[in-house]
Amino acid sequence: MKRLWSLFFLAIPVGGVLFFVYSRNRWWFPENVSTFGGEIDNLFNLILWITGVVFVLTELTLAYFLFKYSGDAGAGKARYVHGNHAAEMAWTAIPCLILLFITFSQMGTWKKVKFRSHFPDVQPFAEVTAGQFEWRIRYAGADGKLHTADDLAGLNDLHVPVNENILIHLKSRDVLHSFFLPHLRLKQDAVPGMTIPVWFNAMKADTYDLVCAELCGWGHYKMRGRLSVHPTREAYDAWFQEAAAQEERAQ
Amino acid sequence: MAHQAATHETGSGDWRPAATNAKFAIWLFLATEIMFFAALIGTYIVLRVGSGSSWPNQHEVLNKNIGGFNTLVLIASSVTMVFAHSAVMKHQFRKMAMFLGVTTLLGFVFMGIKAYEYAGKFEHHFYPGSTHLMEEAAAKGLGAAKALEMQNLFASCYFTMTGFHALHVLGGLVVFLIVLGLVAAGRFGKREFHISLVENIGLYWHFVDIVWIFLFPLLYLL
Amino acid sequence: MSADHIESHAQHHQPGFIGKYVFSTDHKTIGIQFLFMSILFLLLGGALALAVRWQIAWPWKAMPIVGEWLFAKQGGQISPEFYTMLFTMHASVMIFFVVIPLLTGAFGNFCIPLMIGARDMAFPRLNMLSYWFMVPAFTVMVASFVVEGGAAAAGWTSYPPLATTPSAAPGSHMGQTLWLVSLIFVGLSSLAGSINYITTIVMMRAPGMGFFRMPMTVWALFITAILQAFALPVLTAALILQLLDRTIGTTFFTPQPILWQHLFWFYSHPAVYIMILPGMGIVSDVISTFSRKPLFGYRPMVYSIMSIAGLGFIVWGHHMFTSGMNPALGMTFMISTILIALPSAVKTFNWLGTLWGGRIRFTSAMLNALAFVSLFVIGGLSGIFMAATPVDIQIHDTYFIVAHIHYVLFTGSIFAIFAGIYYWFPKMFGRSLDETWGKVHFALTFIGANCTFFPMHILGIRGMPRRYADITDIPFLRDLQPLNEFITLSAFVMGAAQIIFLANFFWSLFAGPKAVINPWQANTLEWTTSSPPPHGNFGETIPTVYRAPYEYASPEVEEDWLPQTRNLTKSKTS
Repeated sequence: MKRLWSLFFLAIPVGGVLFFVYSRNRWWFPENVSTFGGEIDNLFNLILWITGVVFVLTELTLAYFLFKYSGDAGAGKARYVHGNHAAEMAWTAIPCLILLFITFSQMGTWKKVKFRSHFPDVQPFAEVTAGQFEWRIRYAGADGKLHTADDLAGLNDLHVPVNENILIHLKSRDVLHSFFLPHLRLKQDAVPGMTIPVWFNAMKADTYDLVCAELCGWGHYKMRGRLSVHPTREAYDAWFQEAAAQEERAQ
Repeated sequence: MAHQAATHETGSGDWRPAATNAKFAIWLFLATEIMFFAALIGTYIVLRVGSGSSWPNQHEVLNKNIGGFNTLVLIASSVTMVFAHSAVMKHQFRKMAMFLGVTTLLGFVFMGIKAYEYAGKFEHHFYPGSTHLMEEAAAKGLGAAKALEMQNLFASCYFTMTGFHALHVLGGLVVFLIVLGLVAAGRFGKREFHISLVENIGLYWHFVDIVWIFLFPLLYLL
Repeated sequence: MSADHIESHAQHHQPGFIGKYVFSTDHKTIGIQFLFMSILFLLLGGALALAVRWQIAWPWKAMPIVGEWLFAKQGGQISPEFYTMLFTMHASVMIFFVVIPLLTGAFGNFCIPLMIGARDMAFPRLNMLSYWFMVPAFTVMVASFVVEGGAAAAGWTSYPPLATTPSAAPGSHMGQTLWLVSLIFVGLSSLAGSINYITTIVMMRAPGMGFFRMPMTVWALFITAILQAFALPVLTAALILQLLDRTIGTTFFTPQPILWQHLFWFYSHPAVYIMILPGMGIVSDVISTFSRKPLFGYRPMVYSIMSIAGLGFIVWGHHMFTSGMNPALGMTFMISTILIALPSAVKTFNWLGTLWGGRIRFTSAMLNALAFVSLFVIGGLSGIFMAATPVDIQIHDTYFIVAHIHYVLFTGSIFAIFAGIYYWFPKMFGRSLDETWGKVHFALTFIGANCTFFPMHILGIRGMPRRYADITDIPFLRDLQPLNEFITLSAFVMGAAQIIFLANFFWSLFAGPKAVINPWQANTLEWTTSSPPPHGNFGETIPTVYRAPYEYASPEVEEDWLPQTRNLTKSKTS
């Protein structure tokens, strides 16, 4: 009867693994369309494998010990040991090496995505200003410079061409927001008083969700935009011309 | 007897510092106070360094002669506090009361000068959230607004840092007056903790002094 | 020298009713006051969580039963404004009025003097004050629900400018100000408590109670108190600065809003360890006792607590990888953060080592402690994902972090708290909890908690941001809704299971079977005095300590336990 409790704890590794396997086919990451997104996914999977193995081994050991050593009266005393130096050394040193390996494997990708010195050398494509609860967009236009006469304004729908390095200047006009493109594995807070550059390169034409990932008030959940990736540069240019003409007509 | 045998047998690790509970606790308390003022001072440094050249010229606002004189007053009060402490350890309560009286007086002089400085700032509408500053900013347009924003930020730092320091001075003065009252009533020294009270409030007073020694150059000189 | 204190405490007189139960300076009563207060707030915090879950699973549907009464104006619906208050207050209540006061306030107060052999805390009146500081704190926090604009709504992290700009959110009117005032009081309470705990542990240990003979619970509470003493003043300063920003017109957080995040997390990351270390201590005691075996690697356990606390001061930036902080700084924070997993791993292996070769007794306390070990592993491992900066870009501020914190703070701290309650209840109240109902409560909570929090990892991997009132309009998240409904149902099961706990608790309080002095055959000092212990804790003389706290299965004696106070050489010498 007492041994049943070990089954209870065995349910954790078994259930956990089964649930992850099931979810992998149903609710996993959104499709990656970013050039650096694959690296992030690989790093995630690397950590998932390492921690997964540690998780399963630890939990199985726990369940086994609970099964094996469930106490019965008259079974004699427990082992009178206070520790084991070799074991302590081993289970300190080995995890330490694994953790250092994980740490150093992360650095290249982090630099690539966030270090300004590693950014692709391009002009800013657009300025995105977050505000309660919308994304205001200002395209640099043909001259590649922001805040000039040929800028184009947009709202909540960021249009970009496929397969190009896009540099965005991120701002906020009220509170903190976070520019989150889940399909591009990109997230960056927008901070009032700061202009923060972010970059990405979308590999597949489609429309994707742009959401806010930093609490910004009651409408946080509906601060939703869209990223429209055009299949070619020409298609993007055509859209831009059309939008610019429309803006002119409206004035 | 059993006690002796036990400590003998149990041996190592049964260590504790040679201090009273109160003295140990006052040191701990001062450690937490250091962290508190470190946060305030750190905030000030970050804001000032982060603002770069737009930070206002502090020397136009703060008079370093008055601040310097006040520093001397506070240091002098720490010296008299040391004398008061050594007197109380020798159970010379009258002598202790005299030095403590001088310390208290110097503390009030410090607070008086501080009040004079504060009054001057208020007269010039230099305080956080000053509506006068806001109106001025609105009248002068955008460029001036930025400068006055920075003015307000500096006023925020100045008043918060010196204000919390002054509150600590005031706290010390209250305890000094209680001790002096006990002496005047002839009741000082009747209980064991009176002696340690003077010792511990002395520690606290030196701490308050040290905080000022950090604040003065950070605000008035640099 | 210490004998002087002890003798003066021996003259404690028995106080009257008010002195005994209301304005008590007895550490045991103060501990129990914290316990009752926190259980009350556990109910409030739990109710808030269920309301949050209701909204996520069935957005804008009228709440059953309480909806019409609470939100009559909206026809029983939760409004999006109120939703932001719900999760803000859920976190604030759970952290500041449940987990911290239960671990440091209730167990800290009750256990420290009893386990080190002292008659009371070093400063009993300061101790009483530390409880009474909580009263204005929770009064103000609860009152903030009914002020104009409602309760604070900027998240428990209260990032400016959302928290400091009244026009940014309804809760940023009066509610946020009250929230700040409340937390300043909580801070004063914890500061007074931690100074008291450190002094008591350093100065007032019984004869023979060397530092390395202290039970792990005491070690953990000791390190926690140090952590608190050094981290909390920084939060207090930050709270005061935000309060000044909101009231008198200072502008500390206007030019650089990120400054708040640095100050806040400098405290609030150590706060996570404040909320888990005492749990680790309690679990170590319970596991050793019910394995009938010495704690495996006592000293490494102590050193790993110390290193968790030490590293805890230099990891705060891992909350800010995507905040706009310099990414180079992010890299250094990643290194320190990943390394903090190491002492946690060492602790887990030592617990397993303790079980190895034991004679395990599956009491309710033990089951909860085992659940802590089993599920803390998940919370610890999921932390590595978020410490890894590039991976954090995707999962930061998603449900992955919600899963992680609940695996640490719910299935970690709360299971440890349950373990502690089942373990010390007989000592606290002189009566025993019902073991059968204790196990039923454990089983349902264990299943409910895992079904609630485990799927949240998946929500996070998909990218569902936290603090969203409704995801059904967002194309890439829409198909997660069945999972959200499952989570909510599980949360309700888990919530319902707590009724069993409460019934067991209060029934046993008055009608449970009388407890003996040492029901678990444990070694530490609290089990040598009556249940409940008298005022002054121990009889005429303070116990003398002869050995380490976990001498189970010792070959020196017949029984499988050997109390710290038993003098084996006595018969020979006298």
